[in-house]
Amino acid sequence: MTAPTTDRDNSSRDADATTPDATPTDDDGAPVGRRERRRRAKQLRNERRGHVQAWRRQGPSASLFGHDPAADEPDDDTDAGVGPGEDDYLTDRGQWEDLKGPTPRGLRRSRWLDWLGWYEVQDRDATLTSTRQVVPTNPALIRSQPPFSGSPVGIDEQTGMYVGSDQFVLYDLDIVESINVVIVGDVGVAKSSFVKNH
Amino acid sequence: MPDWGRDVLWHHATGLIAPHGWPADRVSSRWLLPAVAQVFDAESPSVIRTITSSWRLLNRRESQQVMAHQMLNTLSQVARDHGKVTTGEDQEQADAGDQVLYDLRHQSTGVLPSVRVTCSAPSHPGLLQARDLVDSAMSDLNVDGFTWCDGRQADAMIVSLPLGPGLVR
Repeated sequence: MTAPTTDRDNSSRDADATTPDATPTDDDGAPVGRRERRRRAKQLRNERRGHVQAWRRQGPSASLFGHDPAADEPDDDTDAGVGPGEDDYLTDRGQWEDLKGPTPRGLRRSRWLDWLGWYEVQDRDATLTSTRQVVPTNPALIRSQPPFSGSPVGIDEQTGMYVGSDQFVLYDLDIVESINVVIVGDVGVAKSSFVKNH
Repeated sequence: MPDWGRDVLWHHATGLIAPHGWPADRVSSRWLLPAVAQVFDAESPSVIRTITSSWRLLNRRESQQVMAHQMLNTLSQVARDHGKVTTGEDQEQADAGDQVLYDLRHQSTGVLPSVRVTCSAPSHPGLLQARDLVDSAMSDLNVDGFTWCDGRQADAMIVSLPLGPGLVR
Protein backbone atom coordinates (compact mmCIF):
# COMPACT_ATOMS: atom_id res chain seq x y z
CA MET A 1 0.00 0.00 0.00
CA THR A 2 1.13 3.52 -0.63
CA ALA A 3 -0.69 5.29 2.11
CA PRO A 4 0.72 8.69 3.09
CA THR A 5 2.89 8.67 6.18
CA THR A 6 1.75 10.75 9.07
CA ASP A 7 2.87 11.15 12.61
CA ARG A 8 -0.18 9.33 13.76
CA ASP A 9 0.83 6.29 11.66
CA ASN A 10 4.35 6.27 13.11
CA SER A 11 3.10 6.47 16.64
CA SER A 12 0.83 3.54 16.04
CA ARG A 13 3.73 1.53 14.62
CA ASP A 14 5.85 2.40 17.66
CA ALA A 15 3.21 0.87 19.80
CA ASP A 16 3.25 -2.27 17.68
CA ALA A 17 7.07 -2.48 17.71
CA THR A 18 7.30 -3.27 21.42
CA THR A 19 7.44 -6.96 20.58
CA PRO A 20 11.01 -8.17 19.76
CA ASP A 21 10.07 -9.81 16.48
CA ALA A 22 8.41 -6.75 15.02
CA THR A 23 10.36 -4.85 12.37
CA PRO A 24 8.85 -1.37 12.11
CA THR A 25 9.63 -0.08 8.68
CA ASP A 26 7.74 2.19 6.45
CA ASP A 27 6.20 0.81 3.37
CA ASP A 28 7.65 3.54 1.17
CA GLY A 29 11.07 3.54 2.91
CA ALA A 30 10.55 6.84 4.63
CA PRO A 31 12.50 7.47 7.87
CA VAL A 32 10.76 6.39 11.03
CA GLY A 33 10.23 8.50 14.06
CA ARG A 34 12.89 9.74 16.44
CA ARG A 35 11.90 7.36 19.19
CA GLU A 36 12.18 4.41 16.86
CA ARG A 37 15.59 5.52 15.62
CA ARG A 38 16.82 5.83 19.18
CA ARG A 39 15.54 2.37 20.00
CA ARG A 40 17.28 0.87 16.97
CA ALA A 41 20.52 2.66 17.73
CA LYS A 42 20.44 1.41 21.30
CA GLN A 43 19.76 -2.11 20.16
CA LEU A 44 22.64 -1.99 17.66
CA ARG A 45 24.93 -0.56 20.30
CA ASN A 46 24.08 -3.33 22.75
CA GLU A 47 24.68 -5.98 20.11
CA ARG A 48 28.12 -4.58 19.34
CA ARG A 49 28.92 -4.43 23.03
CA GLY A 50 27.96 -8.07 23.35
CA HIS A 51 30.32 -8.99 20.52
CA VAL A 52 33.19 -7.10 22.11
CA GLN A 53 32.60 -8.73 25.47
CA ALA A 54 32.51 -12.17 23.86
CA TRP A 55 35.87 -11.46 22.19
CA ARG A 56 37.44 -10.18 25.37
CA ARG A 57 36.16 -13.13 27.35
CA GLN A 58 38.19 -15.49 25.16
CA GLY A 59 41.40 -13.83 26.23
CA PRO A 60 44.63 -13.58 24.22
CA SER A 61 44.86 -17.33 23.76
CA ALA A 62 41.55 -17.92 22.11
CA SER A 63 41.18 -21.64 21.74
CA LEU A 64 39.41 -23.67 19.15
CA PHE A 65 38.71 -26.17 21.87
CA GLY A 66 37.82 -23.75 24.62
CA HIS A 67 34.42 -23.22 26.06
CA ASP A 68 31.80 -21.58 23.96
CA PRO A 69 31.43 -18.01 25.19
CA ALA A 70 27.91 -17.96 23.91
CA ALA A 71 26.98 -21.15 25.68
CA ASP A 72 27.34 -19.80 29.20
CA GLU A 73 25.13 -16.84 28.51
CA PRO A 74 21.57 -17.42 29.61
CA ASP A 75 18.95 -16.77 27.02
CA ASP A 76 17.27 -14.07 29.01
CA ASP A 77 20.42 -11.93 28.85
CA THR A 78 19.94 -11.42 25.17
CA ASP A 79 16.96 -9.28 25.95
CA ALA A 80 19.23 -6.86 27.75
CA GLY A 81 21.51 -6.71 24.75
CA VAL A 82 24.73 -7.56 26.60
CA GLY A 83 25.13 -11.17 25.53
CA PRO A 84 25.84 -12.62 22.11
CA GLY A 85 23.36 -14.73 20.31
CA GLU A 86 23.67 -18.42 19.65
CA ASP A 87 25.43 -17.98 16.32
CA ASP A 88 27.79 -15.28 17.49
CA TYR A 89 30.48 -17.77 18.51
CA LEU A 90 30.95 -19.14 15.02
CA THR A 91 30.62 -15.70 13.56
CA ASP A 92 33.24 -14.44 15.94
CA ARG A 93 35.75 -17.17 15.10
CA GLY A 94 35.12 -16.75 11.43
CA GLN A 95 34.77 -19.45 8.86
CA TRP A 96 37.82 -18.24 6.95
CA GLU A 97 35.98 -18.32 3.71
CA ASP A 98 37.92 -15.32 2.50
CA LEU A 99 41.49 -16.58 2.49
CA LYS A 100 42.82 -13.17 1.56
CA GLY A 101 41.08 -11.51 4.47
CA PRO A 102 42.34 -11.14 8.00
CA THR A 103 43.08 -14.25 10.01
CA PRO A 104 40.16 -15.24 12.22
CA ARG A 105 40.64 -14.57 15.88
CA GLY A 106 40.85 -18.23 16.83
CA LEU A 107 43.75 -18.75 14.43
CA ARG A 108 45.72 -15.64 15.28
CA ARG A 109 48.90 -15.94 17.27
CA SER A 110 50.42 -13.54 19.68
CA ARG A 111 54.06 -13.22 18.73
CA TRP A 112 55.15 -13.12 22.35
CA LEU A 113 53.17 -16.21 23.34
CA ASP A 114 54.35 -17.97 20.21
CA TRP A 115 57.94 -17.24 21.22
CA LEU A 116 57.23 -18.71 24.64
CA GLY A 117 55.96 -21.90 23.03
CA TRP A 118 52.41 -21.46 24.30
CA TYR A 119 50.60 -22.59 21.19
CA GLU A 120 52.48 -25.79 20.60
CA VAL A 121 55.49 -27.68 21.82
CA GLN A 122 57.74 -26.04 19.34
CA ASP A 123 61.37 -26.55 18.59
CA ARG A 124 62.88 -23.24 19.49
CA ASP A 125 66.53 -22.76 18.69
CA ALA A 126 66.52 -26.00 16.77
CA THR A 127 69.40 -26.70 14.52
CA LEU A 128 68.81 -25.21 11.12
CA THR A 129 69.61 -27.33 8.16
CA SER A 130 68.75 -27.41 4.51
CA THR A 131 66.22 -29.41 2.56
CA ARG A 132 69.05 -31.40 1.06
CA GLN A 133 70.50 -32.42 4.42
CA VAL A 134 67.22 -33.09 6.24
CA VAL A 135 66.36 -36.18 4.22
CA PRO A 136 67.53 -38.64 6.95
CA THR A 137 64.66 -37.49 9.16
CA ASN A 138 62.15 -38.87 6.69
CA PRO A 139 60.80 -42.14 8.16
CA ALA A 140 59.51 -43.23 4.75
CA LEU A 141 63.05 -44.04 3.69
CA ILE A 142 63.15 -46.93 6.13
CA ARG A 143 62.26 -50.23 4.52
CA SER A 144 63.75 -53.65 4.39
CA GLN A 145 66.53 -53.98 1.85
CA PRO A 146 65.96 -56.18 -0.07
CA PRO A 147 62.28 -56.98 0.48
CA PHE A 148 61.62 -60.00 2.62
CA SER A 149 61.26 -63.17 0.57
CA GLY A 150 61.63 -66.89 1.10
CA SER A 151 62.44 -68.35 4.46
CA PRO A 152 64.09 -66.31 7.18
CA VAL A 153 67.84 -66.64 7.05
CA GLY A 154 68.85 -64.44 9.92
CA ILE A 155 68.10 -61.48 12.16
CA ASP A 156 69.23 -57.95 11.49
CA GLU A 157 71.40 -56.91 14.40
CA GLN A 158 70.41 -53.28 14.09
CA THR A 159 66.66 -53.61 13.83
CA GLY A 160 65.92 -57.09 15.19
CA MET A 161 63.87 -57.86 12.07
CA TYR A 162 63.98 -61.18 10.28
CA VAL A 163 65.94 -61.14 7.05
CA GLY A 164 64.86 -63.25 4.12
CA SER A 165 66.38 -63.17 0.67
CA ASP A 166 65.37 -65.87 -1.79
CA GLN A 167 67.15 -65.43 -5.11
CA PHE A 168 64.39 -67.13 -7.11
CA VAL A 169 61.68 -64.86 -5.68
CA LEU A 170 63.83 -61.80 -6.26
CA TYR A 171 64.49 -62.94 -9.82
CA ASP A 172 60.77 -63.44 -10.35
CA LEU A 173 60.14 -59.92 -9.06
CA ASP A 174 62.74 -58.53 -11.49
CA ILE A 175 64.77 -57.19 -8.61
CA VAL A 176 67.88 -59.16 -9.54
CA GLU A 177 68.96 -60.25 -13.01
CA SER A 178 70.72 -63.43 -11.99
CA ILE A 179 70.01 -66.21 -9.53
CA ASN A 180 73.66 -66.76 -8.74
CA VAL A 181 74.54 -66.36 -5.07
CA VAL A 182 77.87 -65.70 -3.41
CA ILE A 183 78.28 -66.70 0.23
CA VAL A 184 81.29 -65.22 1.98
CA GLY A 185 82.38 -66.11 5.48
CA ASP A 186 85.22 -67.23 7.68
CA VAL A 187 86.17 -70.85 8.23
CA GLY A 188 83.69 -72.75 10.35
CA VAL A 189 80.76 -70.32 10.25
CA ALA A 190 78.39 -72.87 8.66
CA LYS A 191 78.42 -71.67 5.08
CA SER A 192 77.78 -75.14 3.71
CA SER A 193 75.05 -75.79 6.27
CA PHE A 194 73.39 -72.56 5.23
CA VAL A 195 73.42 -73.61 1.59
CA LYS A 196 72.03 -77.06 2.39
CA ASN A 197 69.21 -75.64 4.52
CA HIS A 198 68.18 -72.95 2.09
CA MET B 1 46.94 -58.81 22.31
CA PRO B 2 44.54 -56.52 24.13
CA ASP B 3 40.94 -57.47 24.40
CA TRP B 4 39.40 -55.23 21.76
CA GLY B 5 35.90 -56.27 22.84
CA ARG B 6 36.00 -54.06 25.91
CA ASP B 7 37.17 -50.60 26.69
CA VAL B 8 40.88 -50.31 27.44
CA LEU B 9 42.50 -47.35 29.12
CA TRP B 10 45.49 -46.38 27.02
CA HIS B 11 48.43 -44.46 28.33
CA HIS B 12 50.40 -42.14 26.07
CA ALA B 13 53.76 -40.45 26.30
CA THR B 14 55.31 -38.11 23.76
CA GLY B 15 58.85 -36.91 23.54
CA LEU B 16 60.99 -34.97 21.13
CA ILE B 17 64.60 -34.44 20.27
CA ALA B 18 65.74 -31.38 22.17
CA PRO B 19 67.39 -28.57 20.22
CA HIS B 20 70.72 -29.39 21.82
CA GLY B 21 70.30 -33.13 21.38
CA TRP B 22 70.76 -33.58 17.66
CA PRO B 23 73.75 -35.59 16.51
CA ALA B 24 76.75 -33.37 16.13
CA ASP B 25 78.38 -35.39 13.39
CA ARG B 26 77.08 -36.42 10.00
CA VAL B 27 74.43 -39.13 9.77
CA SER B 28 73.50 -41.53 7.02
CA SER B 29 70.29 -41.56 5.04
CA ARG B 30 68.98 -44.44 7.16
CA TRP B 31 69.62 -42.61 10.38
CA LEU B 32 66.11 -43.17 11.75
CA LEU B 33 66.29 -46.92 11.22
CA PRO B 34 66.83 -47.92 14.87
CA ALA B 35 63.90 -45.79 16.01
CA VAL B 36 61.46 -46.77 13.28
CA ALA B 37 62.22 -50.39 12.54
CA GLN B 38 63.68 -51.67 15.78
CA VAL B 39 61.45 -54.40 17.12
CA PHE B 40 60.14 -53.79 20.60
CA ASP B 41 60.86 -57.01 22.42
CA ALA B 42 58.79 -55.86 25.38
CA GLU B 43 56.58 -58.20 27.30
CA SER B 44 53.57 -56.13 26.35
CA PRO B 45 53.44 -56.44 22.58
CA SER B 46 50.53 -54.04 22.21
CA VAL B 47 52.71 -50.98 22.54
CA ILE B 48 52.11 -48.60 19.64
CA ARG B 49 54.92 -46.34 18.58
CA THR B 50 54.41 -43.30 16.38
CA ILE B 51 57.36 -41.49 14.86
CA THR B 52 56.56 -38.03 13.56
CA SER B 53 59.06 -36.03 11.62
CA SER B 54 58.08 -32.51 10.64
CA TRP B 55 59.95 -29.87 8.75
CA ARG B 56 59.28 -26.20 9.27
CA LEU B 57 60.39 -24.46 6.12
CA LEU B 58 61.95 -21.03 6.26
CA ASN B 59 62.50 -18.70 3.40
CA ARG B 60 65.98 -18.53 2.02
CA ARG B 61 66.84 -15.08 3.32
CA GLU B 62 65.74 -15.87 6.85
CA SER B 63 67.44 -19.24 6.84
CA GLN B 64 70.70 -17.70 5.65
CA GLN B 65 70.57 -15.22 8.50
CA VAL B 66 69.89 -17.92 11.07
CA MET B 67 72.58 -20.14 9.64
CA ALA B 68 75.11 -17.32 9.65
CA HIS B 69 74.28 -16.76 13.31
CA GLN B 70 74.78 -20.43 14.06
CA MET B 71 78.06 -20.43 12.18
CA LEU B 72 79.23 -17.43 14.18
CA ASN B 73 78.56 -19.27 17.44
CA THR B 74 80.23 -22.43 16.21
CA LEU B 75 83.31 -20.69 14.87
CA SER B 76 83.58 -18.69 18.09
CA GLN B 77 83.59 -21.95 19.99
CA VAL B 78 86.24 -23.34 17.65
CA ALA B 79 88.40 -20.24 18.09
CA ARG B 80 87.97 -20.40 21.86
CA ASP B 81 89.08 -24.03 21.93
CA HIS B 82 92.11 -23.35 19.75
CA GLY B 83 95.11 -25.18 21.12
CA LYS B 84 93.05 -27.50 23.28
CA VAL B 85 92.49 -31.19 22.79
CA THR B 86 88.83 -31.58 21.91
CA THR B 87 86.61 -34.23 20.44
CA GLY B 88 86.35 -32.28 17.19
CA GLU B 89 82.59 -31.90 17.28
CA ASP B 90 82.75 -28.14 16.96
CA GLN B 91 84.91 -28.36 13.88
CA GLU B 92 82.54 -30.99 12.48
CA GLN B 93 79.61 -28.65 13.08
CA ALA B 94 81.47 -25.83 11.38
CA ASP B 95 82.06 -28.02 8.34
CA ALA B 96 78.42 -29.07 8.30
CA GLY B 97 77.42 -25.42 8.55
CA ASP B 98 79.53 -24.63 5.51
CA GLN B 99 77.74 -27.39 3.65
CA VAL B 100 74.33 -26.03 4.68
CA LEU B 101 75.30 -22.53 3.62
CA TYR B 102 76.40 -23.95 0.28
CA ASP B 103 73.02 -25.69 -0.03
CA LEU B 104 71.18 -22.49 0.82
CA ARG B 105 72.97 -20.75 -2.00
CA HIS B 106 72.10 -23.50 -4.46
CA GLN B 107 68.42 -24.39 -4.79
CA SER B 108 67.78 -25.33 -1.18
CA THR B 109 65.96 -23.62 1.62
CA GLY B 110 66.22 -23.70 5.36
CA VAL B 111 64.43 -26.28 7.47
CA LEU B 112 63.85 -26.53 11.18
CA PRO B 113 63.46 -30.27 11.64
CA SER B 114 61.72 -31.93 14.55
CA VAL B 115 61.33 -35.59 15.39
CA ARG B 116 58.72 -36.67 17.92
CA VAL B 117 57.93 -40.09 19.29
CA THR B 118 54.61 -41.06 20.84
CA CYS B 119 54.28 -44.31 22.76
CA SER B 120 50.87 -45.74 23.57
CA ALA B 121 50.35 -48.71 25.84
CA PRO B 122 47.29 -50.20 27.52
CA SER B 123 49.00 -50.24 30.90
CA HIS B 124 51.19 -47.92 32.86
CA PRO B 125 54.06 -50.42 33.33
CA GLY B 126 53.94 -51.12 29.61
CA LEU B 127 54.24 -47.43 28.89
CA LEU B 128 57.23 -47.07 31.20
CA GLN B 129 58.87 -50.02 29.49
CA ALA B 130 58.21 -48.50 26.08
CA ARG B 131 59.76 -45.24 27.21
CA ASP B 132 62.91 -47.08 28.24
CA LEU B 133 63.05 -48.75 24.84
CA VAL B 134 62.67 -45.43 23.07
CA ASP B 135 65.45 -43.97 25.18
CA SER B 136 67.72 -46.84 24.22
CA ALA B 137 66.79 -46.41 20.56
CA MET B 138 67.66 -42.73 20.77
CA SER B 139 71.09 -43.60 22.10
CA ASP B 140 71.51 -45.78 19.00
CA LEU B 141 70.64 -42.70 16.93
CA ASN B 142 73.47 -40.80 18.61
CA VAL B 143 70.89 -38.42 20.04
CA ASP B 144 72.16 -36.85 23.23
CA GLY B 145 69.02 -35.08 24.35
CA PHE B 146 65.67 -36.74 23.98
CA THR B 147 63.12 -34.96 26.15
CA TRP B 148 59.79 -36.35 27.24
CA CYS B 149 57.11 -33.68 27.30
CA ASP B 150 56.03 -34.49 30.85
CA GLY B 151 53.63 -31.85 32.07
CA ARG B 152 52.38 -30.99 28.60
CA GLN B 153 51.57 -34.43 27.29
CA ALA B 154 48.17 -33.41 25.91
CA ASP B 155 49.62 -30.62 23.77
CA ALA B 156 52.56 -32.74 22.72
CA MET B 157 50.38 -35.64 21.61
CA ILE B 158 48.16 -33.37 19.54
CA VAL B 159 51.18 -31.95 17.78
CA SER B 160 52.72 -35.37 17.31
CA LEU B 161 49.76 -37.14 15.80
CA PRO B 162 49.09 -36.62 12.09
CA LEU B 163 45.92 -34.58 12.47
CA GLY B 164 47.40 -32.26 15.03
CA PRO B 165 49.83 -30.04 13.11
CA GLY B 166 48.12 -26.85 12.09
CA LEU B 167 45.88 -26.62 15.10
CA VAL B 168 46.58 -23.93 17.60
CA ARG B 169 45.82 -23.59 21.22
